[in-house]
Amino acid sequence: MRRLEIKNLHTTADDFEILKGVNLLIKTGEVHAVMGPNGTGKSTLASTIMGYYKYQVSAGDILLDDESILPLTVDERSRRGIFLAMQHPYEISGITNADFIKAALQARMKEGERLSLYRFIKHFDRVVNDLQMNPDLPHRYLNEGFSGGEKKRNEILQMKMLKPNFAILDEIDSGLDVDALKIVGDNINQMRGPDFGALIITHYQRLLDYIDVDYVHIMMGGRIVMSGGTELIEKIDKDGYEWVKAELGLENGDAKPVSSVLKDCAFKGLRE
Amino acid sequence: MVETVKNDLIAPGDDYSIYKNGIFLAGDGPRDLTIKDDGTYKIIHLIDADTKIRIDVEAGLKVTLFEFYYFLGNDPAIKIDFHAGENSSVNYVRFKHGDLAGEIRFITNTNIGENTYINNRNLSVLSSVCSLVDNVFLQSENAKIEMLNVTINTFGKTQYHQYDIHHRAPRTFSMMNNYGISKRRSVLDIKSNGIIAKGAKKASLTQKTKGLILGDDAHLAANPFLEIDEHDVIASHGASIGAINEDELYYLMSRGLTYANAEKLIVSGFINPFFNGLRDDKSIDYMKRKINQNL
Repeated sequence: MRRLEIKNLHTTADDFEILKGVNLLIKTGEVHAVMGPNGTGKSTLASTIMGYYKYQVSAGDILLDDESILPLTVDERSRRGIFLAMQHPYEISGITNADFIKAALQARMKEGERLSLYRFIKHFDRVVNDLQMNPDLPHRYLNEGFSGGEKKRNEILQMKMLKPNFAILDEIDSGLDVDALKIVGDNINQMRGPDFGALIITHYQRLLDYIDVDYVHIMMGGRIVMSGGTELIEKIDKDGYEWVKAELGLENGDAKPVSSVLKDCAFKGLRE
Repeated sequence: MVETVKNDLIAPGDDYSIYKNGIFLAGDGPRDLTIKDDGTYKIIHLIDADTKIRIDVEAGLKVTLFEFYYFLGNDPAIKIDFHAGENSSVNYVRFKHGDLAGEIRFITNTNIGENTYINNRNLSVLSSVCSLVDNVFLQSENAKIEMLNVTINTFGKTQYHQYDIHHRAPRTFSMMNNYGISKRRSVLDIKSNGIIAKGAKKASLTQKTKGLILGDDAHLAANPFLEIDEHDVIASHGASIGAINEDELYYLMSRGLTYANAEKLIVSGFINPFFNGLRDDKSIDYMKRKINQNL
């Protein structure tokens, strides 16, 4: 079992503090959902874990199996088992999807080892089929000309090919129609196992209808302010987020974090 | 050297000719550089002295030409005259490569006949100071050229590339795309001139230059220029130069590629249009190998 722990994480961008002390523990075998209103730092959390260059960690730590990953570069974090499905995947002309994944798989191999082209092609074709994507996908340039939904499914395809231990899915549901949501949800569920943990960032319940989630966290004002089980999802879907602010005495979502214990899912956050 | 060249570039069954400074050395292809039949030809030039070359494609032919220049030293000046006869169609791929220092001066004059189409791709991977000038003359009605020029300058040298396309007759067509990469204190100057002469009604001219600068100490300049002396024409040009997009690098690195490999992949994507549709594995492998060695 592996552990990804976020400890009192503070992140700034252009001297503006976005994350104000996030605490979270994800273990392989678990699926966590992070929800919250726009602008509360969910995507910043995802990007900070991956090491995005525009964000600076000003305090706190990110630990992978009790070892800080803050000194690691983006590619080192990836090779240690972290994957980020991006909210807005980039289009890069001239590089085919197949060449990109091949290069990513080769990057994970030991010195002198070579990727078997035959096995790669078979595996790639199978995953394209699982995600019901166009069979010409391997030959198309990376995300170029893809619809929003196709780009998101391409992120899941990459995740399935690279088999990370921790996948952070940043609003993977945006741009997906009902059928595509089900396909993506099924594919994420298929990856569940002792060597895979996921952090799903979303605004809405709909994706979480298709994914078996273990823990739900609500982010506001740059912190996780509430954690619990799947009943939180229904409440948010029915009542929005205002009740959270009211219950916790938050003003504009910007206040000290509190812990919340709900039903059979005891989860404590740290007080500031 | 001949054996090295054959190993690098020639597959069984290829029609090829090897020349040194314009003099035929080996091969079973045309000795006098006059193409008289449809087909695919490989022409290899070994250059270590000033050289003049004339290549003719006879009228009515459909031809693919792979032309490779190996520069072996002695600061050569090379002049190429290429003539494509009327009603012909030529895929013309030209690769210039040299590992040595020194200076190369290279002028090509391409004359395109009536109703003739040329798809011309030029790839330069040179470690020398060089001045390469390409003049294209669309002499007759319905003469057409699509030109794709890729220049990789990574040895800290100053290189000057000029491409002039002259529209001298009505309903002529040209489309030029230039891709330049400059790295490691190199200076790359790309000048493209589109000239439409009086009387060249309904001419159509498009030029684009894209430059990629790798590192803070490299330099790349694009100078597009249009000279139009006729009213009823279409002409446009554009240029863009920049460094590799940091977000693209981040995206590739987030999948485990090192910075260096991510950069290489992006650069290979940048110049990939050069290889689209080419159908000779040996030639393509060779060119890609030389590109990778130089990046």
